[in-house]
Amino acid sequence: MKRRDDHTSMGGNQHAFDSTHWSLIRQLDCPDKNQRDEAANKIFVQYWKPVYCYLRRKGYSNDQAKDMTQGFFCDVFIHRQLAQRVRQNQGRFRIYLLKALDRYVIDWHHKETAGKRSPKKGVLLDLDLSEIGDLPDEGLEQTPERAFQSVWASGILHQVLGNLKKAASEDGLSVHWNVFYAKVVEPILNESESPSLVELCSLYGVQNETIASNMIVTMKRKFQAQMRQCIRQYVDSEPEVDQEIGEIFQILSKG
Amino acid sequence: MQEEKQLFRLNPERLSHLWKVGIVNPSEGSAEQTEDRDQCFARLLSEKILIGSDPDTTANRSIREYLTCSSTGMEILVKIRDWAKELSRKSDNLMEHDAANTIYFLAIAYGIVFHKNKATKYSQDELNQAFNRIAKEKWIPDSYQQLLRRAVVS
Repeated sequence: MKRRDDHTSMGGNQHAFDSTHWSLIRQLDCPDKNQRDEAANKIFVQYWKPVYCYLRRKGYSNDQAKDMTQGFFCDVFIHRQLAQRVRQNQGRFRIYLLKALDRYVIDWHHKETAGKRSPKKGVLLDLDLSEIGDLPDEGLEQTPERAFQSVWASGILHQVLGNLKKAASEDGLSVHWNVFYAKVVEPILNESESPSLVELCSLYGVQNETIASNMIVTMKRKFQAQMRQCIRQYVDSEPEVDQEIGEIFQILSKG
Repeated sequence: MQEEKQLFRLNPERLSHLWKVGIVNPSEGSAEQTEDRDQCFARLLSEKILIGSDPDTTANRSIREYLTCSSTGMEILVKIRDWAKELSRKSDNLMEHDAANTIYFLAIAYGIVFHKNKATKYSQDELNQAFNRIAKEKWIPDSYQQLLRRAVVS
């Protein structure tokens, strides 16, 4: 089995690759309660929506799914210290979480059937559904696992776009961002037709279509770099970045 | 917040389109592979056409410059036409093929409009058909659409 301090011919010293996400999970073991709570909260923010959507796609009502999402994070994640039990070299944390969630659902169902389930007392996590609105009907035919992965991917894209916009603004590339967003992102988000380069030049005061085109290519490259940076937080080594990006694409593309 | 909601509500198919923007494919690493149809057209228009044998001569201008000024001579138009014809024949990229083909017909249209010279074996009817078809493409800027329409009525 691969160890974290293994040397590889391609990736160099793996020990040097310490992802933000795993640092966060290790922080759950730290003696300082404030730091532990902060880490738990960050992990919760990253994963509650995929968990909630997984449960909705399993057929649970809005209230049940909210209740179970809270239960999963409080009972399994915090009290049973799920995160601390997983090791960095055991694969993607997201997949591990998904398996644990599946087991939790079976367990919850058994307790529910036997009338043994009682509402957990203690920390109640805030599920702000207004952040995401109603669960879309589109994709209702999705499997719960695919729903989980899709929502997780949409969270990554949100982070990528946010970082890209901020970086563009800081680098004086706001026009680049606007042109890229209008040409590439907005048509996907709104299911609308992509504006022509001529329209974009007129809208954003770009000299000609070649310059506008180069702006888009530049921003696509920056988008790719941001995507890699975001994914790097969740994997153990540099070669896994491409693998993870490719795997998520395959999951999303399955018809 | 609004964008987050929109992303959350995207179906997996559209989500995968956006996700794909982030994929770096080693075989598609060049700018040419990440562009849209009008971007491809804009890239080809920015190509410089070599006039004479000196590659450093300041007389070398982009295809866009030649096709948008009104004093481009037939010799240059023929060079542009031949370059575009060769590219559309060689290219295995459909977008690039279409863009090159469009430049080919633009060079001919320019010759008809400004020099009354039909530098092709195509009949005027065949050309009219091609000009009308290309002028309807949304990715072609208005100024080029107008040139093609003027070539039809000439």
